[in-house]
Amino acid sequence: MGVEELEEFEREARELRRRSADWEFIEKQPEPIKTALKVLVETGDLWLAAKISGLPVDEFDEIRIKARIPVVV
Amino acid sequence: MSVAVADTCFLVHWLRFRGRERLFDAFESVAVPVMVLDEMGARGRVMLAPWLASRRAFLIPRINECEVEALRLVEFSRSQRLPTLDPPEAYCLAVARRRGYTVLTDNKAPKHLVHALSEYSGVRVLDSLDVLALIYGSGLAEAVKAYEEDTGLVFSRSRLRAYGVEL
Repeated sequence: MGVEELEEFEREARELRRRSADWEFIEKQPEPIKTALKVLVETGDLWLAAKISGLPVDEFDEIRIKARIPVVV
Repeated sequence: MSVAVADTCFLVHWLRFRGRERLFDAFESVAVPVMVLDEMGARGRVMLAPWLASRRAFLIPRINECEVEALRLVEFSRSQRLPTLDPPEAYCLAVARRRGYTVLTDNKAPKHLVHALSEYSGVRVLDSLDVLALIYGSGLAEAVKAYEEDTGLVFSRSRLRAYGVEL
């Protein structure tokens, strides 16, 4: 995947995350979970978002699934 | 069969997949850096425990040389404006290069890095779709559906088409 293809992939993935996310659920979360979920929607970086949340990656991933944020591979 | 070293995000998702045991159809064993284990909570550790107990998975200690190399890779990816490389996947790359392991990760960054850094060009990097294709072959479409259901991952439709899968 070249740079342009990667940028296109990232753009599409971000749109999908924004569209799919349950924003009502996200807005109801306490901080720093809420911010971490928003970072995940924008960046797709699960590890970084988990770090921001202060939770282990698998526990944060459970919340990601409830927030309906897809990880795009 | 070869040994793979697994990054946190790959492991968290793969352990949720109903067909997780089939990983050992493709790899003799899976190395888990302690750095990766430390990123996992109770659920992940419980899921990983049978693999560790049966010695199909084994832990890799923190190695200072690999940690320093991981930092170099993170800095390199930033300087080259490559996709963001997180420390655990950088550590997996450093270990894989030294030991001849395959890296398992669902992030894009390691695949780009092995193309950008000549000394890493021999490191094999696979994501969960690549691994599913290796294991399931002609049954890939069903496996992809199950994987997406179990993990909340979505595979890029263009990548699926490249593997001959239309969902």
